Amino acid sequence: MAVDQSLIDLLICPACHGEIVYKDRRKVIICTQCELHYPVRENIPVMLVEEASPPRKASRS
Amino acid sequence: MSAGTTVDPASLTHLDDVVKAYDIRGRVPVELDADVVYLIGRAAAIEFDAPYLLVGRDMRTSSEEIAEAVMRGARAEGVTTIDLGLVSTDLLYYASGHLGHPGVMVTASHNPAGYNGLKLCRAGAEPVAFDTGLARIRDRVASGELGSAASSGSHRELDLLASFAEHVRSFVDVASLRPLRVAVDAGNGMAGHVVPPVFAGLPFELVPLYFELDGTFPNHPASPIEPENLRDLSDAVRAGSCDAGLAFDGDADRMFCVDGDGRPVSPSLVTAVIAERMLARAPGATVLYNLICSRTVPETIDRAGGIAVRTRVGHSFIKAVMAETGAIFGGEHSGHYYFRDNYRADSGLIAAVVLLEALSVHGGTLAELVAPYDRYVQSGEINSEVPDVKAAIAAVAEAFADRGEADYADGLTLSADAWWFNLRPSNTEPMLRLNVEATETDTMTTVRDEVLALVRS
Repeated sequence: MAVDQSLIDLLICPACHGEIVYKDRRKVIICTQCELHYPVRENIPVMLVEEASPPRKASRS
Repeated sequence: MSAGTTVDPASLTHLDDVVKAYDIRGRVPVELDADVVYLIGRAAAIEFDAPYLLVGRDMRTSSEEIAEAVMRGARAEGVTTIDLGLVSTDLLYYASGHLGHPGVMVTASHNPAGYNGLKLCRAGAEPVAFDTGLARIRDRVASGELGSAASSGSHRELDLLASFAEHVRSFVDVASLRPLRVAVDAGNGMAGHVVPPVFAGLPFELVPLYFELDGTFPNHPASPIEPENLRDLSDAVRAGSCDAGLAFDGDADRMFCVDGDGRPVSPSLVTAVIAERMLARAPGATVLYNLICSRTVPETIDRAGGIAVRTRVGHSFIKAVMAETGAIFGGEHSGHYYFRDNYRADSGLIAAVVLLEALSVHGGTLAELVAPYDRYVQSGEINSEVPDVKAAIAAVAEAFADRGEADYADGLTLSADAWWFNLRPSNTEPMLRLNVEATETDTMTTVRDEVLALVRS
C-alpha cells in the first residue's frame, strides 16, 4: 500500500516548514528546503525531527 | 457549533469534572458518553493540527464505542484515523513515537468498571496535560468552536503488537537471560494481550493469572498499587515456586512486582535496580527520580556513576525534565518507569523485562537482588482530607522549621539526616498526601504521627 497522496499534500517539514516530496520507491519523505529525510513506516510518514536523517547520512544509507 | 453537529446539552454538564490534570476520565454514560467524546475527538483534532490520529483502546465494555466516537470526531475535522485496536497505553505511546503522530488511548487506567476516559499525546508521545492542551480542548467543546473540514478524513487499521513486542525486547540482551519462572497478574486488563507476545521471544516461563480481557474486572480491581490486589499474585508465586511475580494495572502502563516469597517489592527499589542496569549500559548518564522515591534511588544513581536529578510527581514533569536533560531513565514511586529510548514515554513492559534481566544477571533471588537497596523504612502514601491545604502545609513547615532543610518543589519536603517527609496537595481534591521515610521504623512512625496530627488538627 502506498501513502495516500492527499495526505502527502497536507504535510510540511516540522523543522523548517518547507515543502516536502515523497519518494515512494525509497519510502522516504524529503524536505525540499532543509533536505531532512523523514522515514515512512507501516506506510505512514513519520514527521518527527528526531527521527529524521540529515541529507548526507541519508544518502549513504 | 458547526452545521450538522447537534448534541444534547446534558452531555456537556460534566465536562469540567471529567477533564483532569493528566487525562479525561469519568463514569460512562453519566459523566462521559459517545456524544461528548465525539466532540472531544473533533476538538483534539483541531488542537493537534496533524493529518493523522492514532487511536487505541483497552478492554472496557464501553471502550469500542468511545474509540469509534473519538475517531468519528477526528475524521469530521478531515483527519485520517489509524485504529490500533486493543492495546496497552505504552503501546499507544510507542506508536506515537514510532510513527510520529498524535494519539488517543481510550482507557480509565486502574479505575473501576463503570469508568472510561482518554489519555492524549502529541506526535512523539509528548504528553497532553490540563495546561498543555486538555483545558483548550475542554473549552473548545464547551464553546462549540469546531472546524469545518471540506472533506472527512479516511480510516485504516494497524496492528503494531509484534513491532511493539520486538521494541520491548530490544531493551535487554536476550542472551543474558536465565529461564526464570515468572507469574504475571494482568488483572483482566491489557497486560493479558501484550505480555504473551513480548514473552514469546524470551526464555522465561510465564505463569499467567487473569489474562482474559474482561472490562468487568471479575477477579480484583486492576490497581496493583493497592496491596490487597497483589494477594492472588503472591499466592501464585508461592504455589508455583516462581522466581518473581509481576502485576500490571488495567491499561498495563504501570508495573508492580513481588519477590519469590510473594512479598511486594517497593517501586523505589525497582527504580534503583533498573537505574543501575541502565547506567551499566550508559555510564555517566542522567537518571530521574521523583521526590517521593526513597533516598536509596539517588544514592544508587550516585554510586553507579550517574547523575541523579529529582523531579516533581507526575508524568508531565518527568517527561519534560527528561527532554531537557537527555536522561536515559526515570522512575516514579507510583510504578511508572520512563525510558529515553522509548520516546521518553513510560512502559511497564520495558521496566519488567529490564528488571528480569537484572535478576538473570544477578544469579540469586529477587529478594537478594533488592536487599542491598532496601535501607530505609517508608510510610507509604497517606491521604488526609483538609479544608485548607496551604494553611496545613504552613503549619507543618512552622512546626518543623529548625529540624531540617525545607524545599517547596512539590508541596513541602523536609529533610533531616535520618528522615525526610513530603507533604503535597492533590491536583484534583482538597487533600494532602504524606510520604515519610527514615532509617529506623520508630523514627518514621514518630515523624509520620507528628505531621498527621498537625495536618488533621
